[in-house]
Amino acid sequence: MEVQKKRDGATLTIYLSGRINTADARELKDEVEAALEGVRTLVFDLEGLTYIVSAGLRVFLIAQNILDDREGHMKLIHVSPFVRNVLEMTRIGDGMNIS
Amino acid sequence: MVENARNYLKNRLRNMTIRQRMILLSFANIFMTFLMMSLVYLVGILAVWNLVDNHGREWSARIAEYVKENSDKQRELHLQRITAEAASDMDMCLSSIADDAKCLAVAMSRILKAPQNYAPRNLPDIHREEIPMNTVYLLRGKKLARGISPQVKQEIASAANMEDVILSVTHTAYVGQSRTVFISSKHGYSICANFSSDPTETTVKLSNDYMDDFEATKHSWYRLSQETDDVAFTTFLTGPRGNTTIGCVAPFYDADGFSGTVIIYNNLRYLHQEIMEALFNNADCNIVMNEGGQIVVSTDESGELAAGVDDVRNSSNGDLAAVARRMTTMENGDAVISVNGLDYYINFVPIKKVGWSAASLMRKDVADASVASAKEYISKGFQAFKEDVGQIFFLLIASSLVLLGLLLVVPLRLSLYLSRGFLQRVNLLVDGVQQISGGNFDQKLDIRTGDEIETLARSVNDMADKLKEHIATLTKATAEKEHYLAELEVASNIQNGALPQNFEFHRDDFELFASMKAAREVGGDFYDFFLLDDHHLALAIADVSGKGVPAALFMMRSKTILASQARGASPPFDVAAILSAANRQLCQNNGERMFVTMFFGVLDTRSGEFRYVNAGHNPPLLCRRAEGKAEWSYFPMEEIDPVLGARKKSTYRNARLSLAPGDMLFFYTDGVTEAMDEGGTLYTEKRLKETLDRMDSASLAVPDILKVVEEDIASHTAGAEQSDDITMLGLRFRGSQ
Repeated sequence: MEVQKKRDGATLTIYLSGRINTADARELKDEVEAALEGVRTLVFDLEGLTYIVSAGLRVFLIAQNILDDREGHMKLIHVSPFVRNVLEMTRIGDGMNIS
Repeated sequence: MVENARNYLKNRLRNMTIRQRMILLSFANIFMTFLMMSLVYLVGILAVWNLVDNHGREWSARIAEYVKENSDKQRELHLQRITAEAASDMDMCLSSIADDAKCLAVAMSRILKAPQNYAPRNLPDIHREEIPMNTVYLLRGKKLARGISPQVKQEIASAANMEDVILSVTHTAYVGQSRTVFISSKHGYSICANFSSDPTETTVKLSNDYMDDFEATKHSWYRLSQETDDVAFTTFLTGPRGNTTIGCVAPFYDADGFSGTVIIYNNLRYLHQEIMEALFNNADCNIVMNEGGQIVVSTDESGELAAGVDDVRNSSNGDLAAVARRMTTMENGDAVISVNGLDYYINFVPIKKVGWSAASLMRKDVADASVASAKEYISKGFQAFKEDVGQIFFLLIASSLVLLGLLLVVPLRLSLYLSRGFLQRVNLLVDGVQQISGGNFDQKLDIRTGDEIETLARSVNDMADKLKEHIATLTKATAEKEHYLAELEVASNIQNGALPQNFEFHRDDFELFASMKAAREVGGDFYDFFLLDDHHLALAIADVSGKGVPAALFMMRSKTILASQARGASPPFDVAAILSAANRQLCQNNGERMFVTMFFGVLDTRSGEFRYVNAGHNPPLLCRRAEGKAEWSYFPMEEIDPVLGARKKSTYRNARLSLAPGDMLFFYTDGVTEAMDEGGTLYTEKRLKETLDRMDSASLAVPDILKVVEEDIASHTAGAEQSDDITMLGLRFRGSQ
């Protein structure tokens, strides 16, 4: 797993690439939570992401919850078919801005 | 025995401490050096000793021989010298006597040939008066006893002038000596003078032969003089005073020719005492032999070598006779003879004037004894030298033994001292390392010796530091690992304890089997089934997001909530309502947003009606009992509702399916379709369906179908580590036949 973050004012873009397994998912959750301070718009760029365990999806759930609370926006972009399939199958992607 | 001793030694050597080795090494070094030096030394000493011994013997023999030869030579030379001196002195003595006789004869001849030139004189007549010594007197012989013719009387008166000549020739030289001078005429008279060495002898006393009976012409010496017509020495004579003498004669002449003879008697005792003793006192015996083989003079007063009238040439002693013969032939030589029972060296020299021979004798035993003593002296000297050398050698060996002691003690002490210092450092090192190995990594070696030990100590310190770091890391890792393993075990226990294992329903209307192969890190999968009433079977398969204990706990919670919601419902069972209630419960107190995907369904075992909800779970497969070939198909994706626990407001829809007897359902978790080989390739839904299609699922028992799938998954992963739980559940509906 590779994580890169780009902050532009209240907008944070997190680039995820590679494979996210269970251990990576824990790490990623902590990292994202820590980075969300003052963020109004969060963008997950999943262009390089080839695999994600179901636990990794919790990160999106948690982030969506936080941004909903502060009336911000979250969107997932460059979602690969595999990830899209997982999101759809679990219906976790419901209510998320996915493109 | 020998073998045991050798093994013992070997063990001792092997088990020695460094200190003992160092000491042994230096000891062996010193000992070997000393041994070799000693060997060389001893060989040298023995060689020198041998040399001294052999050469000592040889040289003492040689020197003794040399001394003997030299001594013999010396003795010979000595004998020769004294003999020659004696001969020479004798010669001189006799020559002077001969000269005197000649002189008197010449004077007498001159008077007798020209008597008119000499005034007539009177001499005292021994027949008429006492004649004192050293006085010239007249002796009328037997022929003139009855009267003297005038011619003879006149001649006597003229001849009386010989008084002055006699006194002038003899006076100074003969006074105090034992001599007698006779000038005897053919006419019967003699003019005489007597000299004595004895001061008590004041008057002349002649033996009868020389007084009244005196007839000169009848004496041998007179005839000798007349015959030789020259100066000559007589053999032994009894002198006028009865002494044994030898005489020196010289003829005188008148106008008619031979007229008489002069004779000077020499007392042998005088010659012996005055001349010979003085000359010969360096020899054991000295003799003078005349031409007749008679010993004229001898220092021996008795025995074979005493002076006497016997001709020694005829002696019964052959050696002596031979020597006497050589002496009388005027030989100059030497010999060894045995006389008087003793061996003598004899050396003889001719006295040419008189045709005699002088000889000196030296006792052989005495002379040889001195040689022998010289030899012994030298031999003793060498012995002493040898003893001295021996002593020196002894001292050398003794001192080298002392030296060995010093060599052994001093360097040994030194090496003990040095090794103690060295070993103190080594021991410091050893102690330090022992402490470190005992776990005290803060122990630091403080050794500053500037040598390899210090380097070693520094290395040990570095090593201790690194060890400490490594152990700290290892301890942390171990603790984490242990914690993790403990957690895994807890999770695993929870999971295993939660899953029903009893598949014995004793019913004909359905057949059910499930399996769960947990990953090392428990994934949170679970399945569940229970009868809601006599003909309603509830079944669920689920996958909790996350892993480990939190996942296991969430799984327990999900299972419990689901079971309580399901058991609380009544027919006809609203499955969606059950899950909506369960979702609301799970969303409470779920800050971590744990969620669970779940497929939940209730089967009416009489009608085959299957009501279900798919909450974000992998779609199961359905196998319709078709004519001919059985074919599996996935449930449609559109039926899928959100996962449980994610959103409180999620809504769930009831889905419905009517099963015919023989139809089968296959449920699974993503551990199956996402099982990975080493290269990360997923097993996929496609392969799962193919595997199910390939087998003759209609005739297989449900557990066997699961087993075939399991085997195919295993052949795909080919030993790669299982990353997620693999959970499967199979159901075959039989209906109430």
